[in-house]
Amino acid sequence: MSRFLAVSLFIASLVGSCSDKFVSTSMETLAAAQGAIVQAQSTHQAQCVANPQVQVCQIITRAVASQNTAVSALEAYCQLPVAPDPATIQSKGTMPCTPVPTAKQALVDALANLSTIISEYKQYSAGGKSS
Amino acid sequence: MTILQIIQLALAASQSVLAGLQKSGAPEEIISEIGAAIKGLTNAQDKAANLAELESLRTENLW
Repeated sequence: MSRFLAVSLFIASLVGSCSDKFVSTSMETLAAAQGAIVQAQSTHQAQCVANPQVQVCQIITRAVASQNTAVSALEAYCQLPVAPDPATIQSKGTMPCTPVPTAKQALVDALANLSTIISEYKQYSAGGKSS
Repeated sequence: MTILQIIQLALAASQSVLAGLQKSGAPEEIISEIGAAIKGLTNAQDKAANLAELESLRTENLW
């Protein structure tokens, strides 16, 4: 999964001039990361509820925060409401993504950070026990 | 059904039409027109950012 994220980010950087493709690639990256995080939460649920301070639990917690930061960054990039309440989501529905070039770097950075944390988890779960 | 879902349905249908036309040996001009329509739908799909879909990508901290 982390390899997929890295490849997605690489592709995103290559097609950086194509804003529309960048948006859909970012969404695919976020969906893949969400899948990885949910799987990790499921695997370590009992352990982490009992003791959230365990290293792997902290990695997952950071991944969740990073994921949500990246979602906000994408919303900002698209000039969509950031972290809207349910009523706003319902009323706005589908909106055009109007990219803000100046917000692009923040999104790229957020996705890169997310990819790094997911990779960290993968290393940990593979037995590498990241530092 | 959201706008995004409608676009995605149209895109899938157009791609099937294109495949059928190519298989039937349709004139290049017709195939080209369908190809252009698919390109337009693909662009529309990318632009139709669904707020609910984006928000569904948020993840809850369980502990």
